[in-house]
Amino acid sequence: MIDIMIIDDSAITRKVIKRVISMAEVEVGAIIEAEDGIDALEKLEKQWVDVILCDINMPRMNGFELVGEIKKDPLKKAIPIIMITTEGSPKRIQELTEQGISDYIIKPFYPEQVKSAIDKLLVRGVDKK
Amino acid sequence: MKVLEKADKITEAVKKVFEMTAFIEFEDSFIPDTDSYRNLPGIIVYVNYELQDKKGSVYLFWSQTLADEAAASYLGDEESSSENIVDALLELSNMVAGNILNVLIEKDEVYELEIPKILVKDSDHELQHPQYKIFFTEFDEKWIVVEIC
Repeated sequence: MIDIMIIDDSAITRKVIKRVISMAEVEVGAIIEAEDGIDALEKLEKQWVDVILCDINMPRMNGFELVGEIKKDPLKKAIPIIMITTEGSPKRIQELTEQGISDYIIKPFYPEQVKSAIDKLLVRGVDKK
Repeated sequence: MKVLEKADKITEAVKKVFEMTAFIEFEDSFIPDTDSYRNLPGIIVYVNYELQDKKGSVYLFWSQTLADEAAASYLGDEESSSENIVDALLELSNMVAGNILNVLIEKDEVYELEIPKILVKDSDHELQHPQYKIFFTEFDEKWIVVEIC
């Protein structure tokens, strides 16, 4: 089982993503929710997660800035990050990939896309508890 | 990209969002020759964007019936409180705006979206002149107009 953090400023979207994860039959331990980058960093200080699902367009600290913060932190930089966002410009995806994200899903999406992205990480070696 | 080709791509992008998130399939879509829909009852959401050096907005004029149904579908089993309905409408509007920009931008362009906002009627906010406007309808009371400014 893996622990997942969902970061999105929309509470409803966080619930929808949780529902999608459930529909995708991903074996999940804890799901931690954060409403923006700052909230996510605070929660990551207290709790390790195996995968982060992150929006881009958020107040206070957006997803782009958050990825930068996580990837420069020696303790957190190993956490795989999957962006789930409406923004799908090829240049943006390339920039985020160069920053170190693991995958990119454009909203709206099907449950299978989330499962596929998480399965790819598991194959790459995210610990199954 | 030519204007009509862009309009077709915008139409497809909007239809895809509604089909995937709310199971709504629009029967008809056309470019309206009037903007009288701006004064009809409903909800207006706008999403400001910045593309290269240009700032613009995507406006969504939701009929109340479509807004209610789309929000309820997106919410699924979640409680349909007024707060949840607004949150769902803003997120759906965000997806519509993002998917429109995804098809309008050139390969090497990047855009920034602001957080969607509900336009309060009689506020100081002035609607801009749209570059594109497309009317989508499933039946009389279920419609939405998307304006890209």
